[in-house]
Amino acid sequence: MSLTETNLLSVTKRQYLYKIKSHMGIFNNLAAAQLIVLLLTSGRSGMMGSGGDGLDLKVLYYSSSWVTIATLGALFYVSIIFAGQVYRNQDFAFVANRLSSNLSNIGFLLTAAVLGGITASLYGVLLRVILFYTRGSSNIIGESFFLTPQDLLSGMAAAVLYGILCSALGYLIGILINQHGKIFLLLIPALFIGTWYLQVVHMGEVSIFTKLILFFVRENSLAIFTFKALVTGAVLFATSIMISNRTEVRS
Amino acid sequence: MNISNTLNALLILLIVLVILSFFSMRVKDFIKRTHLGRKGSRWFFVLYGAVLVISIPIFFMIPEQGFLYREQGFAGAPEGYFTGERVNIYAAAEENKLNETDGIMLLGKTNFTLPGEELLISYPGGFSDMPVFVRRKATGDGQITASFYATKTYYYGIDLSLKIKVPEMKVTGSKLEVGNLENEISLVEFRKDLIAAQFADPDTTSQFQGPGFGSRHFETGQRILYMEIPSNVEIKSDQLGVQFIGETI
Repeated sequence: MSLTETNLLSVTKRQYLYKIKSHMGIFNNLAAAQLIVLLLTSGRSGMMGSGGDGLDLKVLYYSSSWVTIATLGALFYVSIIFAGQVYRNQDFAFVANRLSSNLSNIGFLLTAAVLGGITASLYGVLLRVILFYTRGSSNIIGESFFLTPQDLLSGMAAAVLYGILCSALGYLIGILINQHGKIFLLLIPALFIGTWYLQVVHMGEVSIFTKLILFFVRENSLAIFTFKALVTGAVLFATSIMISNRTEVRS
Repeated sequence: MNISNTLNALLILLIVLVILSFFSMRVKDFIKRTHLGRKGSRWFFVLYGAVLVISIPIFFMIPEQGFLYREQGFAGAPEGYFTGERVNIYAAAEENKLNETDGIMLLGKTNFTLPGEELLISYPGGFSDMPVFVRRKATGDGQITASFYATKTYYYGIDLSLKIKVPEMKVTGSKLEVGNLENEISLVEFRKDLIAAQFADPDTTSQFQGPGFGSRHFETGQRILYMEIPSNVEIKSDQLGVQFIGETI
């Protein structure tokens, strides 16, 4: 029994701040993941070549898609790891409970999703600035180069929302692995690869797994997508908390 | 995004996860080895974030002039409108209308005096399939005029003609060397990233939709070497493609 009066909010806040400070390296890894993609791809997403009559044309395509994918992948990965035993045991240094531990974890993952989404979107801006100064405007197609502030902000918001979805899904998977053993480590990739394979074999047939993905990726309205992503993220995080709360003692 | 793109993106995501798990270990080792520590790693992220933030005002200050843009009317133009199909450079050469025909550009011109009665056209750079049109003048004044003409080159409605290098012409005695015929143009095109494209309104965004495939999207201009020679001069070339206007073999 503790002599100090505590409430959930203050404990969660203290745990969250502690996690932000102690796991700064995760943000560092997010930045490193983005820079690694820049180094590996030079920012390119493809190339087209054509020629004839003594003239060769090379069109180099650039986009921030690879960085966005890497960032979402990193967030998913970090969320699984964060739900793991090693990170959970750190919470025993505090006068806390499972709920505050989960809430502070979710707070940390949401912070990572926001920072990851924003940096992934701004990477496209940085890439444009670098290419403008290295290649010169006379070699760049202007119509695809310029972004309006609205484009930038909506891209940022969407990247953050996808980040939240990946974090929420990763956290749930991490909790399931933590609670129900390593079977999920094999089951989830097998489920994904199996679905992908069946999709390729039975062309045209859409599996439930694919339908779930299309529920998000086919949504063209940012407002509706925001609603879908936030509700889904909340449901996934809430499910994680409920599953996690079943563990009563340190295991 | 279509289904196959989505699934491919997810497959890539899975590969990225494996790579990341490898690199996360490496990054930790690197930080430990280089004594960056927690403080160092914090500054690394802050520095990266600062670079990204600074790039925003710089980006919005970039002037719109000087970039490559599609010509107006491209979207509704019929097939071949922007190409050599509408400009017959060969017919224009035969009719002596190269300078008057819209869409034909003079890339370079040289005049020189031929000491003898034989001119050898040589291509030191190797094979050239560029046609040579020769017109005999009525007089034997020893003066030769060599001109390069070309129709416009387009990529998806963007005029690239000014990027075509002017061929080099060098006269040594009775030999005309033509070089610098090979051109390589490299362009940068941005594509909206996967997520941003999902919410892009095709009616209000100026997203460059990209070329797809087909002859319409890259149209190489036709080039010719057009020469006016004295009536008594014979032309020899180490390659095929010399056509005497108004003469039959």
